Amino acid sequence: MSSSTPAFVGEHDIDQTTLDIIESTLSNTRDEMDRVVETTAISPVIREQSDQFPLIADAEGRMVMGQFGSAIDTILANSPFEREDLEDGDVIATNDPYMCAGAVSHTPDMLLLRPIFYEDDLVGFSSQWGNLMDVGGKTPGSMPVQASTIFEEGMRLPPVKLYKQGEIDSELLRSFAHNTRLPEHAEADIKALAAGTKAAETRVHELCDRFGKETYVEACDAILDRTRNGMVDLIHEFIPEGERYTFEDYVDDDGMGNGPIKLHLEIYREGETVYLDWTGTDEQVPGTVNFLLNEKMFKMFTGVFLIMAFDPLLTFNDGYYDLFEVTLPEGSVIQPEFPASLGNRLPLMARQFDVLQATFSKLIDGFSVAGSYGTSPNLVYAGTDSDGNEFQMLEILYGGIPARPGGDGLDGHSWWPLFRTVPAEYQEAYYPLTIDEYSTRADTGGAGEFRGGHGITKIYTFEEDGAITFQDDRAHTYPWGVDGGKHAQTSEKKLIRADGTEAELPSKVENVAVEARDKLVFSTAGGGGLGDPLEREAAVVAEEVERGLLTETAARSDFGVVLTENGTVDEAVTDDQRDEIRANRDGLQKFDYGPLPDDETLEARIADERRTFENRNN
Amino acid sequence: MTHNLGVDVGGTFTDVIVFDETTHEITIDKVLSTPSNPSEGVVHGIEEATVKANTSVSELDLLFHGTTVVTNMLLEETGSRVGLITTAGHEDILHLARAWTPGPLYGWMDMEKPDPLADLVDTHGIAGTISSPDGKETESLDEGEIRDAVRELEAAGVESLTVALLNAYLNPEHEERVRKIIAEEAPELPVSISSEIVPEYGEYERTLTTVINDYARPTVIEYLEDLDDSLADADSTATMNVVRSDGGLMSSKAAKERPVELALSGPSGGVVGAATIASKKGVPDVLTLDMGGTSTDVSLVEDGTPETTRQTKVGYREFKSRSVDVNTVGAGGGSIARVQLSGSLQVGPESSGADPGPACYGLGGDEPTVTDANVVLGRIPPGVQLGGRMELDREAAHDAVATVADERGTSVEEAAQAILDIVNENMHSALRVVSVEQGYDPREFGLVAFGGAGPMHANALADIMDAYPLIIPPGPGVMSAFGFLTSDIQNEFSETYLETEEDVDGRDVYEKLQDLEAEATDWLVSEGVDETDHEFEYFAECRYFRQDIQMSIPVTIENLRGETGLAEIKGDFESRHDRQFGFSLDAPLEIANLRVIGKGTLQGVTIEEQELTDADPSAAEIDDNDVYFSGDTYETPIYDRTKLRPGNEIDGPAIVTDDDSTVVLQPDHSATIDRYGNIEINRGEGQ
Repeated sequence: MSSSTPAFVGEHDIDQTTLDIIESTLSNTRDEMDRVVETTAISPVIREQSDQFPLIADAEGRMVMGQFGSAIDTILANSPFEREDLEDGDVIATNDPYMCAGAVSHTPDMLLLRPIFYEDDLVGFSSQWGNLMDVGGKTPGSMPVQASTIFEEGMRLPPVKLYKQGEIDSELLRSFAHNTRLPEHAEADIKALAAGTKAAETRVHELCDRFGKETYVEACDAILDRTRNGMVDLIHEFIPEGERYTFEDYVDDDGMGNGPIKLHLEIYREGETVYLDWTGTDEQVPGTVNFLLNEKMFKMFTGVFLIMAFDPLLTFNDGYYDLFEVTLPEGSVIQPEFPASLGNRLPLMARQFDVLQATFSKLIDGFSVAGSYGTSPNLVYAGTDSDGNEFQMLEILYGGIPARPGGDGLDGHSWWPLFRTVPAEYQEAYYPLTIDEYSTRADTGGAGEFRGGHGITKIYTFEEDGAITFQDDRAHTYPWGVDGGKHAQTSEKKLIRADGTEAELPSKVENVAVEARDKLVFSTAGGGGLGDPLEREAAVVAEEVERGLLTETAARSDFGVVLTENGTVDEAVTDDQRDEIRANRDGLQKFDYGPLPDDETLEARIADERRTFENRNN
Repeated sequence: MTHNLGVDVGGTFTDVIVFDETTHEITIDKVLSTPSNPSEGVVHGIEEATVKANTSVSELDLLFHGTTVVTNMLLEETGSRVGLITTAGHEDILHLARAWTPGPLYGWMDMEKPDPLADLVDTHGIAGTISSPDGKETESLDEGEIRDAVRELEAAGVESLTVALLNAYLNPEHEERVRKIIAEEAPELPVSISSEIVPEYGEYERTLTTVINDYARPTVIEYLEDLDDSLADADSTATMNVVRSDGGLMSSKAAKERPVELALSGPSGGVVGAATIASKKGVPDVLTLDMGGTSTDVSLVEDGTPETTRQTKVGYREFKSRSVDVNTVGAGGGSIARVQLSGSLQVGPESSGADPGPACYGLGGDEPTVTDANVVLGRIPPGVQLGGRMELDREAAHDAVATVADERGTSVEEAAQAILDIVNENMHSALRVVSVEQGYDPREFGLVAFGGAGPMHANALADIMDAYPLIIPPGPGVMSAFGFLTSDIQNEFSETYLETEEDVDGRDVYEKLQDLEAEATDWLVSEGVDETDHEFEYFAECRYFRQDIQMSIPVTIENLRGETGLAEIKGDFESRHDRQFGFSLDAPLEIANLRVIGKGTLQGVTIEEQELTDADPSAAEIDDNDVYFSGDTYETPIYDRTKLRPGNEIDGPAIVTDDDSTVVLQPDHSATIDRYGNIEINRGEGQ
């Protein structure tokens, strides 16, 4: 490729063991930053659903430790000050995705950036971001499903100094918090994030004390170089040169009747450079599912995938930035133009991972992963209770993890790391609702030699009048199976009114009025299967039937396993059944997308569903 | 009735310490553990040690017993078949496991998730609900359904039963009723109810903790009964005390009820012992370092009291049980060193184990380990026993470490030094988590090192952290068994409170704490502790409204009745929050839990004070050896610890050998033998 080799590549004047120690200290520091934020934040969405977004960068703003890539350059470029204007104790804050090239991708994510000085010299930056409960805008939680510009998604802070030389600008914080529905939460959570960046500063100071400033700075370069070297090896070993591999998949819709929304990725290698081209991806949509994908972040995702698949001990950082060349078409749904709304970018973010996995499944021999439940579904329930107190609950839900190389997918687990469900007992204690059920959805994971994880069903009974807003996906399209594995089942939403009437809801709705005693049945999609289901060990299938994770019908039709009356495998009949299925099917597909209609039919179906829903609710 | 005895059952060895109440003499013994029938090894050890101490089992007064039986059962998944009765609609609670997957991104690709300890097949949901937060019954139980479930589970072959219902922490009536029904239908089965084991909100952790209790119970009951029988057969009339994860003691009867409290029984003893020894020396604030073959446990002791936590982690499972706040890192003598693709050197967490063990054991291990690095650098002198083997294969150690040297392009000594630097750094990181991250400055702490490998690495760690004095107690290899002898009878009683300062006053908190104290009193009486020996500590677990931290704030109970009410608690909480995180909030204080710890003191051991003799250690010098320290080779004297006398002073570098461990004294450091027999190490020349 044309761009030159980065300056940090080359010989490093540092003792290798010192380098190892600094690398491992920075890695631990990243964990410590998270622990500080998790323990001190107020919002359950930060606390219980631990977002892992810390970053430590060098003085150039290159991420040395972290997993999302650094946008420090862009943030500084969009700020009213120059690098020289930064002072010890300053902390920059922004939650405007367009001011940081999508480093945070919707307004509730508040990003704090702290320059780190040692003996008056800038030696690096630390950064941490977290999802605030609310930043204002048209819906509680600030993630409207139906908005056409970002102006409807709440208060935006451009990059400004929230702390100046260690002093918080309390008027600025107050002005921001004042525009949110939960000002105390916002103030507390922002301070918790600042404490997280401070923890990194303390550790970097200690490293400079212990090894000297010059050694620390040299170590940052060497760490970047090491990772780059490791990545060069991974690329040469696992990515074949010459061939071009493509994959396409869809997000259902934008919540306003537009869909399906196509993602198209092509990957190929030339020399040391891997090209990732999103040309062919659909244009931006009117609804809020647009995902402003940060280029560096996508390089990071790509590198992290290769590292986790093949060398999980390699550090992630900006060192391999120049080895990937990414094309993100302007005006597409993954590079929308200001002021497109971005509030509900999770389906596209999740699908982007699915597509990346699928393309790698094609190009890397013997390594395949199926499709996942497709987003991080979330639910907001808000209103004013009978005593006049306002309440606002935000919860993230989970679904089926895809079948993995050599293993089943997990039922009802999180594809995003370190998230946890909010305990039902917490929800019932602090919000006016009960959790009637939280269970595995049998049969929803794709069949395969390795089964896809099942989705979950959570049933809420609301105890006060209010409104719900939620987003999910994979209601129209299916998480695909791979290498002969079957697709998973779709998500479903149902409202059961107090009087017993039932209504199916689309996967994305905004401010739907609910009354006390109404029930919401929230069911998420499964994950796809991997490998031929007829190769799955019959005894395992029988066990899963006994545990209620599969029905006997699915065992027979999907896996060809027939059980005796006492639940054990009927070997002879199973052999026959499997032979019969084998004889009647048309070979195994690389990908099983499920019974999708053609694009036009699907488009009409999605538009029709929305129209029907809107007519019913207006 | 003249002797007390501490016995620590580990995976490989059982350590025994006998204390003579008359002469104050201590006898140490080590026998092999018998994992297939754990009580056998214990009885054997007790018999052998009492003989060695010139006494007999019938002369024992107090027995202190810690065991890894429960820890190993959890790690190896060898516990009992548990039936779980839960609220209908929530049967998958353990299977769904709060949806957690490990970091980083794509962590799910490599995640290994063990099956629930109560199989879904053995999990039954029942009707009946309790509302929150008022704790009122909103749907009644269906007794017929419960009876059917119990019969079905018993017929299926479960060995114990857990009852864990949603919101039971607010109102235990349903769980208690189900337990009564079980007692009628299946009187043989041990039953635990979640509202007793963990009376706190959080259904997943409460259910998991209670299931773990029942998973361990049948085995622990059998084990302790066997032990009682065998000791009775040997004419023992001693009182048996079992060591809990929090370092306290409970009776054998109580242990059979709550074996989940034994999950970290072993490691807690060492910390309690270290705290006692350091306090006796006048160093009440210390970090502890317990380094063994595969892992290292570190903890923090403030004012003579080990920090405790309510989150206990064993393997993948994290549950709610009070334990000494031990941070475990995969760094031990057997930790394997490997050069990664990127060129970085990683040491551990993989370990060579006991077989084949480090390359120097000569049992066929060829990967370089921490012990091999110590051998290469001359820090383990000839004649020292390791893993029960007299002769170390120095050549094998050298060859193994040479593989790292080749890959890194360094000398073998430099590679060995790098392995030690990295493993020390891993332990340093673990020590930071318990100190710096909690707002403590390690420079204000001493360091107590024990375990087989701790004394070899501790000087380097004290140097990195500037934590002095470094104390190496006598018998560092049997520190846990010693620690048991210093423990007190102890249990905690807690209640979920979830009230903010706006809604309650100090008097209300006072009354709740009094209720808990009454519960604690009943328990201590049932444990046979005389009322005059009862001691209580009171805690309020605080946070800002809706935060998730629970900072345990010690409460002076009398002050709650006065004018200031909760102000003192809030003040203490805010200053601790500020110290640890660097900010406080303008938000109401929430008290999440109230807790009372009831203690009854036992006198298991007296630490003898000896006369100081002169400074000259030369009578103990047995040899010298070339030892490599960070780039230079030093001719280093070797001392026999058993010959060193209180008052002796040694300048570094030096090696001190002992029956069960080797002490490395670095250059620029000096050591003295104090009046309690500890080796005390400080930076700089001796006085």
